Amino acid sequence: MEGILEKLTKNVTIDESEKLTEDQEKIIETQLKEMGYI
Amino acid sequence: MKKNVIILMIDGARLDYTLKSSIFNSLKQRYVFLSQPITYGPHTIAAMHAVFSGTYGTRTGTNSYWSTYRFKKDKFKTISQYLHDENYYTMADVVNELVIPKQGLDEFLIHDEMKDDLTQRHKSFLEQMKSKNDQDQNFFLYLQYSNIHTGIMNEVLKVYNNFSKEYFEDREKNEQRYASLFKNAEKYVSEMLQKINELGFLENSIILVMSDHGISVGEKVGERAYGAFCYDYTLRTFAYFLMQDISPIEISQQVRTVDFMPTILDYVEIPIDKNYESIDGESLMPLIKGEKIPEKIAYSEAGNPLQDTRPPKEPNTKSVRTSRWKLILNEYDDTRELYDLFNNPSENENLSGTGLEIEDILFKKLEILKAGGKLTK
Repeated sequence: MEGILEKLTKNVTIDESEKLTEDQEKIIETQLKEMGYI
Repeated sequence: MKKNVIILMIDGARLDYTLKSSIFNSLKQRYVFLSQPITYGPHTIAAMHAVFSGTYGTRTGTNSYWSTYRFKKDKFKTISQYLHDENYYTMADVVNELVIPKQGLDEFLIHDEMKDDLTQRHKSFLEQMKSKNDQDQNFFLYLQYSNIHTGIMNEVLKVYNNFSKEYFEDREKNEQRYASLFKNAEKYVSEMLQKINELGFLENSIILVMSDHGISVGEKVGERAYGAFCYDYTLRTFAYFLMQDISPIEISQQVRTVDFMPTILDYVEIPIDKNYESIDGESLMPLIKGEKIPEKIAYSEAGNPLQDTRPPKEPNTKSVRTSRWKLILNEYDDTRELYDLFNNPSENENLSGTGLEIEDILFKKLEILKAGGKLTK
């Protein structure tokens, strides 16, 4: 079976006042591109 | 034991195609069918964060393609968290990292929409869940069927832009393309339900078969797929609740996809957690049991990229809807559209500015909802 398995042990979103991390920005860009949205 | 929860989410499935489908129509005859759920966001990220939290993105923070990580996890509890707290094993298989909130999931799996056989893959997850059940553990399984998106991505999103003449002038080709993708989705649903039946899950589970939003087949220039406008071909979806102990019923009244989460929790008898913010959705169980409840205004918002190639960071197109009327506010140029959905379901006769009293009534409601407020009765 293909695909990625991610075990989740922590919260993944940021607090309201925080800025996105560089990694998060990168993930959004990459994934939106892969999905054909940008 | 409580009932298990299975959600089959057919990404991008259109209501009108389900109404013509023998497979979907056989579900309609045997189970609860909702023919007028309205999505909060006509694209998966905003749509499914709203479904998982029972709350509009105006309040949760996830209101655009860019805002997955802005989901206010400390204020809104997801369906996965509710079920996890009740000792359900919680698992999701989705198309990418961003489409649902991860909070409360024991396993978060990402499939490769280009390579994986989703039917085989998802059947194997059902078998895994059977072994959980056999060890007296409930489960929550969320499965995204993403292959309508895959076809649209390859043949529309990467080929045309929102104004391509050759796309909008060939409606027949667009419909043929969509019909072929939908046919594969029907096959998936059919095989999955067969497996669900074989494993005995029809008896001990609530199964929701739903769509996150529709997809354009060329109705309106400016939107080649979804996510830009607030018209019914993307906002109006469908849902089938498979519950063995509930009589078949068709509910044609407008409901909202934010109502699905409280409906499921109500059915499995899990109360809403008062330690979190109140939710926007309401349980549809009274309606499902044949009682009458007043129709609620549905709020939706989208991000129109206009001439840009990237969707905006914040929504700029917002709507409120009843079964009869829809008011759209285009914030990028401060224009309004008002449609009489009974007499003009294709939404091409704009009645805004013609002096109809309903416009002011709806506009006041839209102002409240877009600011994250709640409507009083």
